[in-house]
Amino acid sequence: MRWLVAAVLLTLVYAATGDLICEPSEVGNSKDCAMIRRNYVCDSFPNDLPQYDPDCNTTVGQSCYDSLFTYSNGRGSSCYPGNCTEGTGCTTSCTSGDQCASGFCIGNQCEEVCDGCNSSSENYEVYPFSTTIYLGEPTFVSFRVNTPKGSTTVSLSTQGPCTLEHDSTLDLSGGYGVAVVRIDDCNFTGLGSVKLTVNGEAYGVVHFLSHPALKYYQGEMPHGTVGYSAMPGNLGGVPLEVKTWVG
Amino acid sequence: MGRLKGQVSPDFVMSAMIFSLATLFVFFHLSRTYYTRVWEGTRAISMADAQNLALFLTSEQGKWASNPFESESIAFGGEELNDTRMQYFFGMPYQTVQDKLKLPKDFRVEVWELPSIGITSDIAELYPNNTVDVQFQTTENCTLYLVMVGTQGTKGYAFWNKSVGKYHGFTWTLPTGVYSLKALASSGNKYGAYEATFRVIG
Repeated sequence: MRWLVAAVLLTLVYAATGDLICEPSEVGNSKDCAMIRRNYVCDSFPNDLPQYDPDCNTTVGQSCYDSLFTYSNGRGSSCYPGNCTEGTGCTTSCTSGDQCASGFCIGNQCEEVCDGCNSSSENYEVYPFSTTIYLGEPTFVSFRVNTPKGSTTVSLSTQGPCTLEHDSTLDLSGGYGVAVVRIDDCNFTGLGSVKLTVNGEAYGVVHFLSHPALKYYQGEMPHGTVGYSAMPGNLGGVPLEVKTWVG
Repeated sequence: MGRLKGQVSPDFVMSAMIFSLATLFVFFHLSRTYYTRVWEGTRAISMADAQNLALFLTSEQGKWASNPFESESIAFGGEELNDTRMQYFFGMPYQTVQDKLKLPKDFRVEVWELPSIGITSDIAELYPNNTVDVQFQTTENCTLYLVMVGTQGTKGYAFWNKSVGKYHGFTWTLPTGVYSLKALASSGNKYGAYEATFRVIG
């Protein structure tokens, strides 16, 4: 009896945590598996395959950026700086920045950069301080915030593409401070802008470049002392370097 | 002058001290050597494993089939392997790679696309007036994106521009300052990157 209970438990555990990779017979039939462990949604399976990831069967509710918004035997085009509609394609019409992959809706059109995003207030001035190229690893841009009010602490907010992280406040001791914005998870090639707003009243912009050259990664960085082995290669005419980190 | 009972001789103290120092020296020397060698050995084995992994992922001539379920490894140098296929194949389960290579420890594998478009420019270190003419040339037709940040005292300036083709000319009117320029060339899957700094003192 105990063996039977154990067998049932094992079966349940396997059912819950079993291999998520599609078996050939499951492709197109089962929504419980993905073509690959890291589910690339619609964007990562060979173009010429008649099968497709069942998770990509619908576009409704998906984030279209860097994904296929329609499956038509190949890759969809990027929606940057716009966004996708339900299965019909990419649109750059917008009414607010959060409807655009670039984060900027200007004149009801998604724009890749925020031109003229500079405005000083009586209390604060926001200036660009450094720019960057995003290649696949987190990178940073920075702003200088000036104030004639002496020592004060201000709140910060940002707008733009990618994942933007920053401190929520900035200490302006001495009349100025440098705000650093971390940029990660960009999925486009070209121009982008980061707009920093101080206390909701003054803002400035830094333009940056993006080309996600880190095409794939798997595994966490080993702990402790690490080193890597790098090997250049060429796949389909694309020069590559495979870098393997070990601890 | 005789010694009291329980008192040690100075010779004994000196001998004991020298012996202790020698023991400590030998101990630290051996431990450092041993630790270093063990660490180096471990590191060498790990790097060999990593090399093997990289080799496996980049150059093993495994069986390639258009149906990935029938493929055993990455086709290298033969079949066309585009970006999507590449992601698929590098997306093989972590455990599978670990099992195939008998790699006992954690590892992280990254696949980086290397730049393949060259960018050159005639950017000078110093511009004596505010009008700056810059010419760029790329090794192939592409879109060239530029961003710049200039700083002068408490102020800063941001610029961007882009151009399509092989020869790219820009004319800017720039405030006095120190400028950091970054350029990105893009054509299909290919890219190139470029950085420069210059001063405008007009």
